[in-house]
Amino acid sequence: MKELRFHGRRLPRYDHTAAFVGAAQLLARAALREGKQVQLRPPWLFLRGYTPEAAHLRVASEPIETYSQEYVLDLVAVTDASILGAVDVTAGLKDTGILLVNSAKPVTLSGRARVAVADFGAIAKRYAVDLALPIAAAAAALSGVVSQTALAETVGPEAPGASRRQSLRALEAGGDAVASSRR
Amino acid sequence: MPALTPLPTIPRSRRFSLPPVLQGTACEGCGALPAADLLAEMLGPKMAVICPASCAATFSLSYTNASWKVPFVHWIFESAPAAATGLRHAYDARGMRDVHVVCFAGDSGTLDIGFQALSGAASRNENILYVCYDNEVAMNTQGQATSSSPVKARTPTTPGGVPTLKKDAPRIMAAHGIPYVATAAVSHLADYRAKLRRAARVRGFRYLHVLSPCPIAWGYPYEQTIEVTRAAVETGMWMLYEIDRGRMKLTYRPRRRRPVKEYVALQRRFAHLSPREVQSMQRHVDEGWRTVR
Amino acid sequence: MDRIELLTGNEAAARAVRLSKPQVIPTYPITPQSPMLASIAGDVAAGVLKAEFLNMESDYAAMAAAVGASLGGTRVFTATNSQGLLFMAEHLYTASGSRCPIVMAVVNRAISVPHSRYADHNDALAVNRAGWMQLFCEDAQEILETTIQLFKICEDPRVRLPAMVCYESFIHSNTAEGVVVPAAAAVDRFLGQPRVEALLDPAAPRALNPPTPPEWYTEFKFAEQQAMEAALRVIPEVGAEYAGAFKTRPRGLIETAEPGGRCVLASMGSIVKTARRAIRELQAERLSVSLLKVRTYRPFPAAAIREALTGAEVIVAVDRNSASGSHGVLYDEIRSALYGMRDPPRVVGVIAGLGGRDVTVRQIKEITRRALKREPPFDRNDEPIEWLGLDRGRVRDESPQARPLARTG
Repeated sequence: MKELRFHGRRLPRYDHTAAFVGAAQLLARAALREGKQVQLRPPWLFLRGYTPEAAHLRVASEPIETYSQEYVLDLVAVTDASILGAVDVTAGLKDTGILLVNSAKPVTLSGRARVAVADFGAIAKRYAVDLALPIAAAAAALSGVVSQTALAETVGPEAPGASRRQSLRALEAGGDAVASSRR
Repeated sequence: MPALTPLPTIPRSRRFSLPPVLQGTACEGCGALPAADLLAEMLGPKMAVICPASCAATFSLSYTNASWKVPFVHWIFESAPAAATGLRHAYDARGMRDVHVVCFAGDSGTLDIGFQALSGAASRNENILYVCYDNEVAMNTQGQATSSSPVKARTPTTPGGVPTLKKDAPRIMAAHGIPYVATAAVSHLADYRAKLRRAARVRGFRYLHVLSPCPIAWGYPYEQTIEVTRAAVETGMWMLYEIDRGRMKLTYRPRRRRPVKEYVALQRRFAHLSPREVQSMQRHVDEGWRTVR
Repeated sequence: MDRIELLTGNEAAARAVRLSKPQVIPTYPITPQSPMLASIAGDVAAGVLKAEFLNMESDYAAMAAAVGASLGGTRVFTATNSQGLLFMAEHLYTASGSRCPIVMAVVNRAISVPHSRYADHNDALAVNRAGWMQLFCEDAQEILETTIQLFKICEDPRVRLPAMVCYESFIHSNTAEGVVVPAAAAVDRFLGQPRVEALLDPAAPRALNPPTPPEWYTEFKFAEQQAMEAALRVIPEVGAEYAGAFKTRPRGLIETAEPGGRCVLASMGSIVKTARRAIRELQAERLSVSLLKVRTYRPFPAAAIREALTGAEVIVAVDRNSASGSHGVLYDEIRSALYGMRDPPRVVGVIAGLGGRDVTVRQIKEITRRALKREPPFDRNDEPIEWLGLDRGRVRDESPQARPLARTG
């Protein structure tokens, strides 16, 4: 079983899903496509917009036999680097786990060996898709939680004006952006 | 994305302010905050607040701190005026007749689930001040329609638009024969302040209904709460008046009412309206103003 | 064609409602059931579900409307929890006494005071004498299947009682899992047309609910009891029929895992799922532990439980509920079911997960080990009950209130 956590800021709107939830949902759907079991827990609190929150995802080939909120994480993704000072994003992350950060600028976290940083916002903008797409692809590439093929089959056009081709390119770019961080 | 931005509608006062631990619980641009703040300022410190389940209850207290610097209880959704009745009589029995007993509730807790208790307390003319802050949805449960939702507004439980007219709460309350009823809006704070001052001096059941928009439910950028409220008043969708011992008096009359379509255009909850539907809204507003002196 | 979809517990319930085609759905929102209502309202607005969706003015109004609609001869669904369920309490008896086959989702949530939006079972259990069947779901798949099955169970002529499909606030309602969604046509075939007798119908006028003198009252309650006993047979029957029709595993009154253990962990709801992993890990440590999942809590399946527990040494009843001055319901009712057995197992109690507190695999393993070793408090004959994860520093003997943190520096 693999456990992932996605950090981001809540959006104060009904009609948009924040990227940190969207990325987790995309990975969960892709995992179902591969015949895996999933458990996706979005943030439970209803806090004001832009508050840092987190979504948790479990993916396994066998039944996931726990609802406990204790996680031993393989990967933590941060969609909004501005929360890094305010939130301990590495809590519960395995020593061998990876921290994935969306940032245009370099990010340093002391004591953390595996940090993958890329400007996913730029990728999303370039292909006119939701930020969730390239981040999901990077998270999949780094954690091995689902294959890139399954992700590609799962995604449809993810933003108004985007096309499926753009979505696929955004996924590819997201995966490529962390190619150097893969073992 | 910046770090948490300061809430634009929140003034600071001696008797109400959000401690840091609660600043996560009130949304940016929340229209209920100034309604709560001025209420505490004008009626405190000798007041007790009974606040049923609502957005306000959520931003009012945690285990380590409270937003109100006056006695406050987070109450059960449907029975705030009944509880207030009990507290009022307890204070009277103890000779504390100068302590205000106040209910601060949303439209759902006032006009739907709480209506029996509201009507009961008003029928008894209990010496209570009731303030309804109206965001026109049940927002604490994420925005379902209430009887105070305006006709045609889109909500999660009325995806095709609310089919019925907004309940005329102030006039219904006035029909109970209570001594003071007033409407207010968070864009017109001097007017609200004056009404609170007047209400504080009246004995018997007093009812204030404050238009307090919600940026998430109404669908506008959170910095525009005051502007949207002002548009409600300037288009005549929301009237500012008092009904003092049965006599109605406008406290603000727009010099020239702006067209309703300007108000509608500001909000995503009305984005699906056809021009004909907007015209019908305009006619309804015009008719409402025809009967007012 | 069956599909696997990513659905939260709320969405699974809403999907089951779409497939089961209730005709009248009176509603009132309460956290965290409200997204389910929005989903159903969306289905109705889109024409995917042909139903009267009612926005009522309160929870009790929703139940009053539900009974009214049922008496009018329609299949009815509603949903609530916690404060709303208690606000409806009076009308729950109206529904069961009137023999209305209403299905209601209860998104189990703790009851104010203290105020909480999170999961425990005290709400449904507070009304466990109201004559409603109560089934507790372990996961989103079970929520979907149980909701569909309950329409058939409730409407069965041998039963004609209302039922609650219970699942947990946030833990189930907002957590998304892969759910196999059956095809609409297959569910139509399984459920058939609504079998709801119109008790208020000009075609056959009746006068309902006369003022009742003592010589009439008891036998109506006896008839309800008989219907509950019939449900003990109908519930597994319908579960088996569903399994045959949809090629899934049959669901009934209880489930067991790793049977034959010296120690049996008994629970309901999401704790069952977490207990499965704990038991697997304990078995790897060569400890002899089984699982008893109580799916049907009302009617209480005493005979099935007795059979499942025969031969065990100790039962650990893990209750996500409490009643001051009394015990958790599983602790009490399992002990009751075992009364009169020769060499009955000991029953110890654990109060866990109140107000949504997390229950971890580690915690379950620890109490199981301690129960097997008869460590305190499980060594006592009198009240061998532990409050799991109790933080003594937080115990406040007062009405819950804000206490500002002490100033520092």
